[in-house]
Amino acid sequence: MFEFEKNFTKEKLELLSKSRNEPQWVLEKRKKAFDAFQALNWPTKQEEDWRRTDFSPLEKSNFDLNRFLNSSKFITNGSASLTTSGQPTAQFSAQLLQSDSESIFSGEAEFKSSKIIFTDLDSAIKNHSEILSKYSDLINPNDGKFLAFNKAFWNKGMLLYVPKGVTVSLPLYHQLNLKSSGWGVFPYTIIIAEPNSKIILVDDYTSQEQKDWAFSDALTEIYLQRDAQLIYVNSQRWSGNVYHLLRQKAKLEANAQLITLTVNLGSQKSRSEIETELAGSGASAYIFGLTIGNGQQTFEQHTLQDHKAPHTTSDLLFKTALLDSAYAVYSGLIKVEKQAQKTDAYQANRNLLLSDKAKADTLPKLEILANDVRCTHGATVGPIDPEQFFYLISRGIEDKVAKQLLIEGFFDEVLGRIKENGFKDKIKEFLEEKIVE
Amino acid sequence: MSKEPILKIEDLHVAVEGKEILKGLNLTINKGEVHALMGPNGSGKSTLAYVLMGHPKYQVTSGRVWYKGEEILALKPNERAKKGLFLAFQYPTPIPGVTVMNFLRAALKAVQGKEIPAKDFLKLLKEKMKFLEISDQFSNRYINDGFSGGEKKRHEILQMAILEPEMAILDETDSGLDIDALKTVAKGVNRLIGPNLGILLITHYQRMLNYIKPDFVHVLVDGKIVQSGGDKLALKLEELGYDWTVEKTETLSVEK
Repeated sequence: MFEFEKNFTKEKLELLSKSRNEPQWVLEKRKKAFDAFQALNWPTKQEEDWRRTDFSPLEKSNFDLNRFLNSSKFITNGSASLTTSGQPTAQFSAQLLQSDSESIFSGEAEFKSSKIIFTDLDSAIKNHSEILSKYSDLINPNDGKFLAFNKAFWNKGMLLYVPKGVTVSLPLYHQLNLKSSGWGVFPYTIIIAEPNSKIILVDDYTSQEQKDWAFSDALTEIYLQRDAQLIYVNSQRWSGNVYHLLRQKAKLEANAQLITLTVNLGSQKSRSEIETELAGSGASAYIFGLTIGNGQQTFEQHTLQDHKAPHTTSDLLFKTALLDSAYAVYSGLIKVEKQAQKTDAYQANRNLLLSDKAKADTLPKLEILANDVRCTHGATVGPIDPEQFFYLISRGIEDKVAKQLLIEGFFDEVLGRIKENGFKDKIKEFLEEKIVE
Repeated sequence: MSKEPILKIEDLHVAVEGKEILKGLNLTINKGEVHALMGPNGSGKSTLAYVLMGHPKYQVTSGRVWYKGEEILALKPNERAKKGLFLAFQYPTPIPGVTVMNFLRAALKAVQGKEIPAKDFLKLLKEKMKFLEISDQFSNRYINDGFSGGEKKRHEILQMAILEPEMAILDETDSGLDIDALKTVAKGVNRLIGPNLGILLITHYQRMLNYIKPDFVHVLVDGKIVQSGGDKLALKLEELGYDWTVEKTETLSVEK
């Protein structure tokens, strides 16, 4: 058992909910998740899905909820602290910046009149209960110990609700920036896109390097209704003292289109599970991943392309570049259910190793029950091309810069496949920061 | 013309994967001179080009090479390039994802040792591209990715024009070019030729030498230079073929 579990009791949960002035239905949801959390065992290295990344340092830590309840505004800050301030930066139509102690919203006038709801979760509970109570069940707490934990104890969150037919061309930006040490953050993002809406959201986690380890257990639920279009970027740039888990699930109704990009740059150990359910006919999902690891970082990425309806398309490309002694494992499943005829599914995982000590494992899997489908997958793990490297250094370019250029080139394919440009500069900035590290 | 050697190669032996390719090559190129190196396939022409640039696949088993009076065989390829050595590749490698613009800017920064303001760089790039009849969009393409034969070679000369080396090795820069492309490339090279640039022009055919006039012609056969002379030698080779030089060496060795 994880040492810190003893700090997370039902009494503490009630206290937490009360201190945030949450309505009864929220507490009930938390309690239900708590029951699932208690009933489930912590995953162990004996389990196939968990044997590659060691989260055991979490067990040794005395992770104390009291500290957050008593000493930090962070877990208790509610809608009262949501402030607004002027205009967002030019790249965005609106932005929501959350830190340990505050939430700041800024949006353009045009955005403010659009009826889009883009706010922290505490405010959403207070002001938009009718929407939230209808959704927020996409991920079942019984599906995993860590996600049950989030659903019980989530303490930061965000709601994006886009009404029918509403389109915003500039992206939205949500940042969670943590400055204190020894924290635990359980961010919960909910996105609801009504029919024929179109939006882009960049969800960005970042923190300052601290001595004490910190723990992030994040959840994202995405509801895409008929003909809705969404680009969702989830980027974790946590400092090196963080252990990070992410569970993301998207459900696509008929003809909905999702482009999702998971960017993994930070944390000591990171594990993400990206699930995409193609529930309505004609839905399509483009699922991308960009990961750069250095030092002793490890990244574990699981994906599920779940085709439940006919004429659905999914196209996945996860690219990972590893330096030093970094390690990455990718495990991806394409599942085509019996009724999902005419499915078109593709999955590729490419790993670039820039050091002899870097290592990547890749485990692509198919499970196809329909008979009229097209499914392909491919995986590669390899060093940089010595001839490409020689070509660059023969022009005077330093080894390090040549490698940076090759990493950028390696990732260019992913960004090149997304037509909308509005958010790309931000992502390139994140990548560059990490590449020149 | 000053007789200051820019490149001096002495008894160079080079092996690739354990097989000896260059077997005691000697060559001196002075500042401002154009030397043509000709020879049949497999004689070791490209091996010489690669080894001068420091490709790790080629092992120098013995011999020495001086560039501007300094021994360079222990230097890394980027150090050689920064000192002014340049190789125009016979088969330039495609690098998808990296644009010509970013690449050239990084290379110029490395060679000059300082950042060039974006505006100045764009101006320089535009001017050089115009001279080599390269369209503006070219700089946004990925390095050698999907380039035609002519584009690849023009891109090599473009790099040379921007980096302004003092010693350039052109490895079969004429191969795969139609006559118009050849003329454009030759025009680019001729413009760079001057008192401070040494050129080693590696070619299989005499054709290129109609457009770039060498001061000296050397014939490489089986890892050694077997014949050296003026530009007339190239014409003789064209007429008689490489067998002629092979026979000649055999005769010489009998006479020894």
